[in-house]
Amino acid sequence: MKPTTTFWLRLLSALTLLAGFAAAQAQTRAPWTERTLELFAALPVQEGGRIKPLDTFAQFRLLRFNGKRSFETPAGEKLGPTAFLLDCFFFPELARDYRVFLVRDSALLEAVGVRVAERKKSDRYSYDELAPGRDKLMGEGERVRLIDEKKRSTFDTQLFALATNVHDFEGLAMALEFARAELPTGDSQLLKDVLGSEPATAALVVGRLPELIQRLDALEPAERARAAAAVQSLHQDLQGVARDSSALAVFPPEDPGIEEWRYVDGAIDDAFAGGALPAELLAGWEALEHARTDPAAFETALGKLSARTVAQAERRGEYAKIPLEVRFYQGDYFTRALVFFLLGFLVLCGSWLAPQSRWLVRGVWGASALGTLFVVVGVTLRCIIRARPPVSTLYETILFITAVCAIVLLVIEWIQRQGIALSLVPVLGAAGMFLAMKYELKEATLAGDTMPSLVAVLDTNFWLATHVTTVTMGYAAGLLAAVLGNLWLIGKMVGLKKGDKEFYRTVSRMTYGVVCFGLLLSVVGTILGGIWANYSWGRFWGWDPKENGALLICLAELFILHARMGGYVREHGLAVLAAMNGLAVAFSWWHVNNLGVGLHSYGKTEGVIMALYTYYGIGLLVVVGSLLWRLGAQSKEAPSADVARLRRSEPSA
Amino acid sequence: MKLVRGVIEVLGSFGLACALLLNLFLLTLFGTLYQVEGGLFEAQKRYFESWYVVQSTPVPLILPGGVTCMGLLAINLFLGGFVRIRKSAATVGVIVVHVGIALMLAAGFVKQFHSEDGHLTLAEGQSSDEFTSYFLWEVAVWDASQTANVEEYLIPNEHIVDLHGNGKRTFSNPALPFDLELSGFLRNCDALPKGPMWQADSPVVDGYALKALDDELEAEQNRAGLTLTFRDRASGATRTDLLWLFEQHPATFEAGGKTWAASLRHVRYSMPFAVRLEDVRKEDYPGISTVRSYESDITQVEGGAEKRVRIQMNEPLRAGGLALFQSGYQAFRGTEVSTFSVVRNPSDHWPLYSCIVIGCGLLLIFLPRLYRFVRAQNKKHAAAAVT
Repeated sequence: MKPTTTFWLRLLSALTLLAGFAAAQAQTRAPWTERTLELFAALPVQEGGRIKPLDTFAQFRLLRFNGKRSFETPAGEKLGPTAFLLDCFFFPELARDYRVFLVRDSALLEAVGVRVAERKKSDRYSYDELAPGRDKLMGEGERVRLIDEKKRSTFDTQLFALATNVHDFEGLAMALEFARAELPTGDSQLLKDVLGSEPATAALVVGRLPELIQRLDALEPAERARAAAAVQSLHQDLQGVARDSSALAVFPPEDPGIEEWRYVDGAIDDAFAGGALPAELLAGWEALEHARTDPAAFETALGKLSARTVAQAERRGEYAKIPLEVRFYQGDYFTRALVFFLLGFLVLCGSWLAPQSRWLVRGVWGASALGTLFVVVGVTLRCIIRARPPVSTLYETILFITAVCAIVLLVIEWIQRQGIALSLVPVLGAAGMFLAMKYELKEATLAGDTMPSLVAVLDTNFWLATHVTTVTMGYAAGLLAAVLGNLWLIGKMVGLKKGDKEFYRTVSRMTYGVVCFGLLLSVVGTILGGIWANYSWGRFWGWDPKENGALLICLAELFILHARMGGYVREHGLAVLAAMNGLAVAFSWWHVNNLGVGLHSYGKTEGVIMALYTYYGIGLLVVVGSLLWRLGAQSKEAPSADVARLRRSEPSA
Repeated sequence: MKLVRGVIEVLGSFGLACALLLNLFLLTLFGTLYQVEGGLFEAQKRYFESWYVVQSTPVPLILPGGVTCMGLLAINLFLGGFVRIRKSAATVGVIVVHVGIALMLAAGFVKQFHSEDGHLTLAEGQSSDEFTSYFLWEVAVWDASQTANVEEYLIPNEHIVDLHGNGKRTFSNPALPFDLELSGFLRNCDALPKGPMWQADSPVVDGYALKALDDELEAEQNRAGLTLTFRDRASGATRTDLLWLFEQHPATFEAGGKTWAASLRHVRYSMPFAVRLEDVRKEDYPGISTVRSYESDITQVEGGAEKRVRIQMNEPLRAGGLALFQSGYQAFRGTEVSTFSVVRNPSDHWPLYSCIVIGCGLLLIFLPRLYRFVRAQNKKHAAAAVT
């Protein structure tokens, strides 16, 4: 074979994809069997520095492309992530027609020459629909890649994301090129003798490599040189095909000392370099490709491949948590929690219409408790899968804070039994789950996972369990106090429970209590953070934005307590300050990470800053509105002698 | 007496506490946002290490700076939290919290004025018994003909960094046969061949001059420079030279029959032991470039005794009043280099003690209140059930 063969093979494989898989026969396929989906979901793959199930990989890939985890095919079949990945691998000619590319602004497509007539501004497109602009899109993607992430416009960011998605889809669609490849043995007698006269498969070449080498070594020098060139050429052809197929690291190395799993090209290179032979696994994937149109045969072949891969991963001690992770994602605990919180909210609305009904109150209790339980179970499973405390990423803070707020409110309700705290559980729970889902989408785009590998300095469960958990509970308390403060302010303004002083006194008391415990957690959490910094970097305090954010919460809560103890504020003032403290918590929790400076800078997260400014705006509007309302109310009544007396006298504690 | 009591009342009042907390809140907020444009070092100096701050808002806002605010807060805490407070069982928790905060302020004070910090950067096989400041400058002068046990004459940071513009200062030492005049300190500059296209910010020496640059956002990356003039006391001969952080060779001068050298550098501190870097390793997570760990194996050499120690993230070496933290790694042309942050801080563990004290104090305040509240609620529910 001539040296240019590799080039032609690679060009051919690219053209095959771009020109519409001319050789494709199947325009439909039988639905994937349950067992097939189950086995494929639990196949292990190494990605993002950890071993995860293919299901997790598929979930986040589809979420990144599509903005959600399911879609409907042109044939009307509803597909989830695992089925989508199966189609990408084994029926790329169908997958390219799936509308899974979410384009938020059709101007992106116009910019790369794709027709978008009669389509919505934000819509989903298939690979085929994007194909006319594919080359220009890749060119634009390359242009944006060279721009500093912090300086990219929203348009450029979205363009880059789309180019990445299209590129990654092509990677998935070509992932089994090696299994489809038929490698000509040329006119080399040695190759014909060992591999047969028919074009060889990758598994066959790799499987017979020892024999090939042995017989090559036995040849006369003159003959050996010619045969070696043919073997070399075959290796290059194989490498070319394998490189195009390198979408996933699914080959666990035989040597347990090697941590990095192999992509198909690495596995083949290892084999040619005299390492372990992945022939069985290669043959397993080839068997799947050949059985793709026969569901029963496919399931059998997948069973064998799964058994081999899992056995190897188990030998390496890397499979133990894979089934749990599959169950975790398939359990969809946070969506279920959202459903129960929403249900609780509906029942709550019903209970307002029929306040005497105990059953409706019990319904709110039940739905709220179940929603909270699902969040807690989900968070706990994540802890087990990651072998980490509950909070190690921003995404996890949302889940944890939601769980803490819900639990604290349920406990308050258990003590007070006035329905106030209970009515907040479904509202806050649903808001938290919505926020988590939105941010999960961001994480899918930015990191491709919500369980990323932690950087070296964070790789300490002790400090994650103490500092991070405590300070996050402090955020939860601050936000809960802000919700209660806003309830007081908005309630007064709109005339909720008008004349019911006990209601507002209770809300105020709850706010104060939550602020007190928020202060305890924030102060201890912040100091623990300083101690961690001192033991890691040698300085307790460095005025880093995240440290400053935590300090702002402590200062705000100390201010509230001193103002209250000094008699400068009462119920209204406390509500105003608690609401303002919520803004400080939001600043500390999210804003400082988006400033682009400091040790906790995670770069600009598209949409977060806008959401924060919206929250600040609404928060300030409520506070200013309540102050105006207060002025209006005061002008109608004489100043309270009680307040005047409180302000004159300053208690010493 | 009445006046003193009045002053104590004001200084220890809740009103002042609230005002100071609000002020500190604003300083922290503005100081955090300022870091985006001005960098951490400048933000610290401007907001947290200043007497007052002029904040450029639509209506300029003049606020007490971090030093003023923290000083007043310490007074307020002492008078309000210890002197004026009613001493009773009910206020034990409050007093304990204030003790904890006072301990933390004391830790901050000791760290600010009695600590030294810097870095020690070693290639594998290298050893050193001194570390280098990140920010502080010194001019070192020595007899260039000495090769061992070189005695250095040092001009400290505080005598250098205020020599902006036309500022100059002359230094003499009876042991030296010349005087030194330092001037035109530039916190960040380049030394460049002087051409017609740019205005020099220093005299031109041997065709080179200093060009001032904007400060780096990370202050440790600043490259300082200044002008130095040797004046031979016997002959009156002078020589002007430029000192710059990245100069290839020190400035030299002949006086008293010897060749003298001078150099501008970051302050160096001695350590009570030497450190030899045996091996440094950077380990990534498999398949990606996220770093999982940095580890340095060192030999600690003290008085002839050698001890092998491993320093890694979150596991520093503490010895001789110093703490060495793994803070950086570089690989360059096959040579691996490890950087350690080195800190000498007498109040190293005080924040931990203060955290424990404050935590206990807050629990002493809040738990009894929670208990009383729950008990009252239970009584209320019991009464409601009876009726």
